[in-house]
Formats: sequence, structure tokens, C-alpha cells
Amino acid sequence: MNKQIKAIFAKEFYGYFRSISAYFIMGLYIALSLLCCFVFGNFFEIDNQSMISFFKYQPDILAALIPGITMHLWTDEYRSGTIEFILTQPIKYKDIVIGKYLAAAAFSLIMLSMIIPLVVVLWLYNDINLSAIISALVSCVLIVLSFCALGELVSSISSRPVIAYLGSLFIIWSITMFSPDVLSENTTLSGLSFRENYKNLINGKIELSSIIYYLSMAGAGLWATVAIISNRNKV
Amino acid sequence: MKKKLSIFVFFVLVIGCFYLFNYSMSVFFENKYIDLSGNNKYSLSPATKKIISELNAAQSIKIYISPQIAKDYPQTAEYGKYIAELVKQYEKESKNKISADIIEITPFSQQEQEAEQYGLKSFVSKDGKINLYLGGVITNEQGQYIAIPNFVELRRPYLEYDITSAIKQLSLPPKLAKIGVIAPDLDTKLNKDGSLDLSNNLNIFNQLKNKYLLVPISDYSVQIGVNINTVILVNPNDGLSNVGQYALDQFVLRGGNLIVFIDAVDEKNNKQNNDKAINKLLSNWGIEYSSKDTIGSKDKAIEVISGIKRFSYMPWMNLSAENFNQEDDLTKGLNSISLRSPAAIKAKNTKAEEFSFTPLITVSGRTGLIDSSVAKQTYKEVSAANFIETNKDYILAAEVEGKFRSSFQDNIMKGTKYENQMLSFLPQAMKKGKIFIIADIDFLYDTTWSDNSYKNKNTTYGFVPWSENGLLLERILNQINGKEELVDLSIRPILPQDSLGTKFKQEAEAAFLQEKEQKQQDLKNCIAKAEKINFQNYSMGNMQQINRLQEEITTAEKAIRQLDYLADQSYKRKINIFMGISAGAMLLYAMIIAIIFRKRLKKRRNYGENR
Repeated sequence: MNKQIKAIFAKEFYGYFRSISAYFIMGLYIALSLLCCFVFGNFFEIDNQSMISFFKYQPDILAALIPGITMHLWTDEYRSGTIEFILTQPIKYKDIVIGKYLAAAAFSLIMLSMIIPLVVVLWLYNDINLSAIISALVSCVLIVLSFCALGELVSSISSRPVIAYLGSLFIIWSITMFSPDVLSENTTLSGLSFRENYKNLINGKIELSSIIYYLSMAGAGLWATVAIISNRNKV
Repeated sequence: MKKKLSIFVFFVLVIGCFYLFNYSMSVFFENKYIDLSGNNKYSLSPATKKIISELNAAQSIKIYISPQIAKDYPQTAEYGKYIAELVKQYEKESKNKISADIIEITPFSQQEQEAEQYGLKSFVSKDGKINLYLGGVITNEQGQYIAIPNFVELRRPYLEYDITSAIKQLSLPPKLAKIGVIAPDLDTKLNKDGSLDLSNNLNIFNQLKNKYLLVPISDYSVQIGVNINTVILVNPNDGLSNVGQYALDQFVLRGGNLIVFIDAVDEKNNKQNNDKAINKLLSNWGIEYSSKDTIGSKDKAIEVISGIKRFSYMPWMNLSAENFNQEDDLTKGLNSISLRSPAAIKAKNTKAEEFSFTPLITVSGRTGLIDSSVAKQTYKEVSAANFIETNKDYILAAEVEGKFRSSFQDNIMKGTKYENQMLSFLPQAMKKGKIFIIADIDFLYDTTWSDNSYKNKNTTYGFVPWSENGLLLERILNQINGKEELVDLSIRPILPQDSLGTKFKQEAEAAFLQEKEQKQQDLKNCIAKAEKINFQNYSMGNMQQINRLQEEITTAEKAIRQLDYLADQSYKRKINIFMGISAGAMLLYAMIIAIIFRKRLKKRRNYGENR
């Protein structure tokens, strides 16, 4: 990581802890996760050695919360007018985009790590299937990486945080809900479905194509953000 | 406007490229994955890998699936997808010696005809217009095939076993190993090819006849053919003559394998078994058996309905993993065996050399006995009332091996014209003999593990997963006949483990169990007393007694309800405590994270100000 990325990362990352919204999002994440896990996930009724009740609703929870983390990434720059200042600095656009992205992803991963105490508590009470939990965690990390990239992309288009939030929410929600295999009975197309890939991962099947799917989503999001930012500067 | 359009086109292009790229990746990297499911759900077991790596000739697996299933029965479609992925693993692991094809059946097509010819079972679509299929066929180069008529999700734990055993079966020479059957009590008839037709009696023989040639042996046969290495002896009872005993004695001394089914109460015929005929042989082989007592267990009892009453009947047991010897390959991984009024067996002193006695099925915990003469009667309620709790461990099946001595002094036919036609008398074993003894004949009759609808079909099916009785017998035969890999094939448990809620519930109920049992006993005693009262007698004393008993019954019932309520409260408290601890731990962790990063933020600020 070069110095510029590090500097931008540090500025953005610690920025989260400066405002109350970060703590609010973390608290909301804990509340939503526990609610979905214990109330909607039938935690006490089904075998939860691999914490399936917890992971089942993670895409929905993360889809709702990550736009809240990424919405300020670029909108604040537009609103405060610092965008011109940043873009005229001797820093590559991609470094700025990556720096901001890594900050949002790091914060989201810290939020995701809230699961660790729950795993420990469950382990104290019952047997756990650690390998399946690790697999599910990997899938959540991949989801965080892809959602953060999409959130940053939408944030780079709008100058209003609320619109950035709603726009990200809409796009992420559409992607998680869209299943290309409804267009055809071809079973290969199911590999393009967000939920299908997630289902495989939380069941302990770490497919190379699933990893590529999420990473390419993150890559496409970042690349599109760089393209939009550089296009904006040209204009 | 132009700018907006270009942004739109840009996004469409990005999305298009994303899906195109991922489509090609999913095709290119198909079946490249790491299995972290914990129970190797997505990988083949070592036993299957060994079997398919040793294949000399090519085989093919065809999975027939109707695409319409995805719309009508999504869960079945999900299972179909899993099967398709699994058979692709067979192809990959066999280095293409096995070809796996997924054939999508369109209605009224040639593929549908083909599926029908193989005997695949169809089910109707939700609109009732077309037949749907989810089945498989395994074929070898000679055109022989074994079909799996329909993949039933209930058989999911046995999926790999079904496919691999079919592959193994098709890889063996067409000549089937001979198994002798001595079953004095059963209606036996011969098929045209001389094999045994026991289809009217025991489903297990339907299942085995695809894999072994079952040869009937009369219990009056003086000698068992040298080409038979295994004999199944079912319910010897009175039917086993002295001559038959001699034949079995010599068979074991020559290194033969014997599977013996004995019993305390033969439920099918409602009679107590006679242990005299077989006991001479068994005691010589180091096995003690008595049909006097029937074994039962309160923990493993199944519920029966007698008249209008539903109650746990102790001698009828559904045994689970903890009852099976997990150290022995034969019983390792089994989850359920169903027994009805079994007897117990024990090891006893024997003069045999290299003797070993390995229990296979044991029942322990709240066990007990019922006198078999009582247990044989139809009124299960009466039998259950005679259950005497002993809390001892009882062995219900075992494997015995050793070099035994003969139970006979000399050739039983000595001096007769048959003597010269017979093999010479062996006073001492020339080879180690193996005896598998299962102390329940109903083990074979039980219909909970065998599905008669697959009778006379060339399929791997027949066993259904409510119980694994048939699987245990098949494992024994596989081990004897050199198909050890099939014995090693693990059964994939799909039945979920107990939930945390169930665990909490059990803990909560256990805390009040003793007290509840005491109250239930009090209630029973009161009811028993009440039943003895003459209600026609209106004397003061009698009326007072009735009132007192009524009061006692009400009190006992109330106490039981109260204990149930307390157990329920305790269960809810446990759940609340768990949720509280989880939420507290997560919040504490979040606070620690927040404090750490706040501190680091402060440091950064101070550092910036100092600069």
C-alpha cells in the first residue's frame, strides 16, 4: 500500500469514529443480527452448529447497513467542496478510490467481527462446526467487500448522502434479489445468482467461481468509481 | 441528456461484462471448491475414492432430471442439484473412468422413454399434466445396469452408499457369491434357477438377491457345501435337528461364517423362543443365550397404541448411535436399529483358541427384563406392567471369532452309508470361524427399514432410512465377501443434531424428572386403588375413601402440571440467559473496539496538534 492510500485510508477510517453514526451503525448491526438470529432465524429450534440462523439474514442486514457506511465517502467531498482540492492533488484517482474503499471495508469488517463473541458463547454452551462457520464468515467478508465497492460507486455519483444511501440500497438489494436463472432453465446460470453463491458458501462449499463472483463485483464497482471520478474531473 | 445517456450505457456495459465474465468463470471453474462443510458433504469418502480408483472398466452414471421440478418442487430440485454435483465428483476422482451425465428430461421425449425402460419412478407435476423424474442409472461396459428409481431425500445419508455400492456391484464378475439360508420356520420355495425365494417372508432377501445367490439349506442337511462361505441361520428354535447342528458345527470349524438370528419372543408368531436346540452349539462357541427373559429399555422404548391407550413399550426399541460399537467397522456410523423383544447374549468360557467376543449392539441406562412368557402375549400393556427395571448393560448383538473345538465326538453319520460321501470329521478347527449373533429375529421382519415397493426391481433401493437393520446385515455380508470398502463407506448424517433449545429443554426437564416420576407413580397408585373400589357400595366408609382418593388424584395431577410449568419456566429462563449473555458479550466487544479506536483517534489528533 503506498503512502497516499495509507493517508486517505487513515483519514476516512478514523473519521468513522469521530461521529456518532458509526457507533449507531454498530449498535444497529448487533440489534438486527440478534433479532434476525433469535427471532426470525429459529435459533433455538434448529441445529445451529454452523450458526445458520445468524448467517441466513446477513446479506439483508449488510445490504441495509453498508450503504450507511459508504454514503459519506464522496458526498461529503462534494458538499464541502473539497472534491476539487482532492482531485487536483498529485494523487492518482485510483489511490483515492481505493483508500476510501479500504476505510469503509475495514470499518465494515470490524462491525462484522461482532460475531466473534457470539461464536464463543455458543461454543461454551454447545458443539460448533468451526469449519462451516469460517466458510460462512469468508462469504460475509466477500459480501462486505462487494457491497462497499457498490456503495462507493453510488456515493461517487450523488452529492446528497440520503440519495447515495437509497441508491446504494436499491442497487445492492436488486443484485441480491436478481437471479439470472429465472430467465432460463439452464442450471449454469444459477452460478450468477448472488443468493445461490452465498448459499453455497454458508453451507461450507467454498467455490472458486463464487469467490471470483464477489471479488469481480467489488472490482467492477471500484473500476466504475474510478471511471466516474476521472470523468467528472475532465468535465 | 447526452451525458446521462452515456452514464446509462456505461453501467449497462459494466453489468453486461460482469455477468459475462462470471458466466465464463463458473463454466471454467466448475467443481473447483474447498469443502468446509464439516461433515464432508461435498466430497467423496475415502472408501468411494478407493473403489473408483480400482475400477478396471469404464462405467457411466446417468442422472435423469426433469427441469420442471425446480418450479414445482424446489426442495427436490435442490437435492437434484446436489446429486449432480456429487456424481461430477465421481467423474473427476475416477479420472474419467466413470462418465457422469445429467440428462434433462423433456415431457414425452425419447429420454423419458429411456428413463421408463430403466424402471425409474416418476411423480406427477403440480398441474398433473406431466411426469417428473429424478432418478439415476449406473451402467457398465457389458450393458448391465443398476437403477436408482428415484432419489428420495429421506435417503440422502445413503446417497453415496447407493451409488458406490452399485458401481462396486457392476465392477465385480457376474457370478454371485453363494449364501446359504437355513430358516426352519419360514415358508421357503425355490425359484426356477434353484435360488431361494423368500420374498413372502423377509424383504431383506429381496434386497440381497441382487448381490448374492441365496441357496436354501434344509435344517436336516448333514453337510454344508464347500462352495458356500456364509450361512444365515434364522430362528433355529425346535427346527434345528441334531444332524443340522453337526453340519453347522463342522462348517464353522472349516472356517465358515455364520450369521445367527435368535430371539426371546418371536413377535411375528407370538411365541416364546426355544433356546435348547441352538444352545449346545452357542455355548461351545463361547456364547451364552437364554430366551427366558426379554430385554427392554425405558430410554429407547417406542410408543405403541393398545386399545385407546398410547404408551412406551420397553421391549420394542429404536436404538441409536450410542448403542452401537463405534470402534467396530460393522456398526461404526450407524444411527438407528429397530428391535422387537430381543434376548440378551453374553460371552462365556470356551476352550476355543484365539477367541474374541466383540459386542456390536448394547443397551444400557434404564434397562430391564420382562419374563418372555408374559412378553409374548398380545396385550402389550400387561407386558409393560411386568417390566422389572435392572439398569444393567445388555448385549443384543455380537461378533465372535475363534478356533473352536467340535461339539461332537465323532462323525454323526459314522457307520452309515453316507459316511464315505461326507467330508472327514474335524474335532478341532482348521481355520478361524466367525459367528455374528443377533438376538432378535424381528430384526429381519421389521418393515420400518425395508420398502417392498422395490421388490423384484434391479435397484439399489429397498432399504428406507427409518432404520438401518438391513444395512447392518449387508455390511456383515460385505465384510465376509471381501467388499470391505463398502463397509467403510460412511453414512452422511443429514438429520440435524439436537438444537440448543432441545438441549435446554432436556436440562430443564431433567431437573424435575425424578420428582415428576414420583408424582406419576403416586397418581398411578391412586388410580389403581380407585379401580379396586366398589362404586355400588354406598357405605360411609367407602364414600370417604372415594373422596380421599379423588382428592389425592387431583393433588397429584396438579403437582404434575405444576412440575411441567416449572420445567417450562426453567427452559425459558435458560433461553433468556443465553440471549442476554450473547447480547452482552457482543455489546462489550463493541465497546472495547470503540474505546480502542477512540484512543487511537485521540493519539492521532494530539500528534497532529504537536506537529
